[in-house]
Amino acid sequence: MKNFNNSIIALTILFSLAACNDSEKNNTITQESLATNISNEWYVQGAKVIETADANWKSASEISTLKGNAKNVILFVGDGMGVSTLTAARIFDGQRKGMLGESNSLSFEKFPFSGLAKTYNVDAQTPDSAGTMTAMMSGVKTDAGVIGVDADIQRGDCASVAGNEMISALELAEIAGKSTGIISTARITHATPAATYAKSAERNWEDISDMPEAAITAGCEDIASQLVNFEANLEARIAGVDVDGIEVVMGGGRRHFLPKDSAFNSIDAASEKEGDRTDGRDLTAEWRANYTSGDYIVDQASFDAINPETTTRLFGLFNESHMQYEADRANDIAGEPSLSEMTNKAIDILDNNDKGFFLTVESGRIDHAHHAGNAYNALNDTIELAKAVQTAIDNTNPEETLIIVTADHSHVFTIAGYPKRGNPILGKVVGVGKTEASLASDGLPYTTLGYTNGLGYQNLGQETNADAAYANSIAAGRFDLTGVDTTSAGYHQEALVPLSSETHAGEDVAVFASGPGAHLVTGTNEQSLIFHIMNYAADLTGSD
Amino acid sequence: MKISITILFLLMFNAFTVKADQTCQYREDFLGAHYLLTNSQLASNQLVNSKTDRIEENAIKNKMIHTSSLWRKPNKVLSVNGERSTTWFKANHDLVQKTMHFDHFQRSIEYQAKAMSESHWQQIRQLIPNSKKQSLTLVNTIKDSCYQQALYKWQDKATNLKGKLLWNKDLNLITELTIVQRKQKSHWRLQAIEHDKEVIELAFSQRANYQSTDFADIGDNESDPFLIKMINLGFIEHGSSGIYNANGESMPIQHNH
Repeated sequence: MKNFNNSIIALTILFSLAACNDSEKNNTITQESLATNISNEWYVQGAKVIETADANWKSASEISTLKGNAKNVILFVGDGMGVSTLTAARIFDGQRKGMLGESNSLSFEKFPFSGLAKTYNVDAQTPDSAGTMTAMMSGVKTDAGVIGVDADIQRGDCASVAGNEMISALELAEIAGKSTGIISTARITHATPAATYAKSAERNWEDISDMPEAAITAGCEDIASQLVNFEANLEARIAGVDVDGIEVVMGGGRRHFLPKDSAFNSIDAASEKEGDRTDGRDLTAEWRANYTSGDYIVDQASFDAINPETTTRLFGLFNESHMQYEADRANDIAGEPSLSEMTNKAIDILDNNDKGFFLTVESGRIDHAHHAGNAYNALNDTIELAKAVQTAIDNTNPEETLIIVTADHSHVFTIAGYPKRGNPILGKVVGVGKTEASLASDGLPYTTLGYTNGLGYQNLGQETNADAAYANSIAAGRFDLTGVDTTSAGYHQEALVPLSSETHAGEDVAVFASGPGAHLVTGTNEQSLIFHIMNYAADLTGSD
Repeated sequence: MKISITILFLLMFNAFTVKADQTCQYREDFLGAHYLLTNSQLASNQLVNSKTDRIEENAIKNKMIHTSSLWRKPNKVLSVNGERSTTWFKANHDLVQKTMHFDHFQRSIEYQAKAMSESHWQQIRQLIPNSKKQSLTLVNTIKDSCYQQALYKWQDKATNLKGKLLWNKDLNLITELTIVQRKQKSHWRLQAIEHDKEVIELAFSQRANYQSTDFADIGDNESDPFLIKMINLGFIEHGSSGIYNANGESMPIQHNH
């Protein structure tokens, strides 16, 4: 797919040599700096869609007047938030409000523009988060499992990284002088957030202990280290630029930043040794040394104490691994903020910059709840994402802020049967005009929601941690649900194909947008187009 | 009947003391206990005898034997069953984190820490919680130069379940356990106790260094050969705590009403 332009490569080399003298730092992005991105056919096609107004109702001349109007860009990603998840979450949210549910709208479903994105990876029909988020952040589709590099890479081969690194939208925003932020309820080194800042041949190289010796010897840097060294790495990679680093980072994943030594445990530790790093580095200490005026926090109380008007930089690692499911947050040891709380705080810090900001927000645990076969937590976390989007709407100027809400991929999650209007979305199917649950040909009731594959049926009562199901055996197939409360948090839906973990699905995902450039979100497009929309609206590359 | 139980108890006790009385230095919270598990199907003639409280030791068929070990450190337990093992760590917040190890692959799967009752923690740490043990019938207690050994027995005709337990009261450790339910018989015998600090630390540390994956992340790692195998075959390690037979299947001690 990649169509190398030899002249661009030659120019890149010449430019790199010429830029050894960094006395002139004007933060101008050249076409040469973007060589890996723009020489790629995915990028060329995406850019063309914008330039020629192929996929929208405005003329190319009208579109040109909108270029760069978005001072701020916020990209929300519901990990695994497929269309069926949106529909079910919309109904669940409505029913919680006392409505029948079906006519309810999540906050971002009220946005004026929406479309569909094709999610496949270059090498995979059904994608993973690494390849999809890389597409959204760089404008170039790539292979499953790799971060911030194009498809010329060999997954897991460190040596193949060099020359295939791409610039991300977050990096372009940094270079443009905007404030930048990353939020995730997953580990901040997990594939989706990592694609905003890291270049890696393997998504699982979250810290040095995850890497093979050959990759370490060959000089590849683990993802956590890349986050802490983001500023220096970007300045080294793009000669001539001077950036100030990511202002706001919040999520889980402390383990990848701390040495494997209990002496480094935080007050929030659940493991004997919280850290996993085998190189003895304490990356949280390194971050504090780099940013002496910044705040490093690990719990709710410290989060609440942050004054966004005076805080210039914030690094929050609220969990050893992933943050809690929203429904399980009360069980966190030291307490942790919700996604909407983090979004609110981040915007209040980032909007102190007159040049604007670029923020990515991931609801990472929708995906995990689906993998565990637990619709309750997937829907509940989707509703919390909608709340976070509403927070962004309420705290930004719509005339200067592009907000995009989408998913990286879907899940094998279905809404089935013929339940009547207002039937509890987590309940058993009760047909139109009926009061008793419908029975299948096996004589047993069945739920509206279900999974094509996965662990299958579990009745864990009021358990709010979806991952608790992994302690039990696979139970695919049909069960007698007659006396089971399928609306409880701990109920795990039936599945057809027995697997230890439910899988992603390959259908398109929805994209919603508001603000400058939002009208470019329409029709069915490659997922990599999202980068081009953000780039165009905020003029991140500063191209002519 | 009482005489036969007493004789059996003395035989069991002697068998244990020969192997285990080498030292009185064992620490309840820092040891490794090696067990021999025998799982067998009773022949039809034993089924007739099973109406009495005498458990036949001979004339069994389909015998399966394997070894298992239980390792303890303060707030930490390691259960080893063949090539699979499980570490349990109790944090300060009364949360217990479980990590399952696959020794052949040198890989681990981590579960999110969760609150655990003291009884459940005892089941992991001792294999039999105190509450369960207290519900058994105490037959006798004998003290040697080091430790007190208590013999318990039980029988539940409703479930055809019966058994006996020789319990080291000082180390909170099973010395010998026999459970019979219908045709199935499971037998645990303590073979040796490890008290060498380096050996115990090594048992834990070598598994702590395995490459580890959160269970929540397994679904996102479809290309990992180890994980995809586990996704397709299932991860569940039966018998990672509590009493199980040589097939790794859970064995009830008593019928729970």
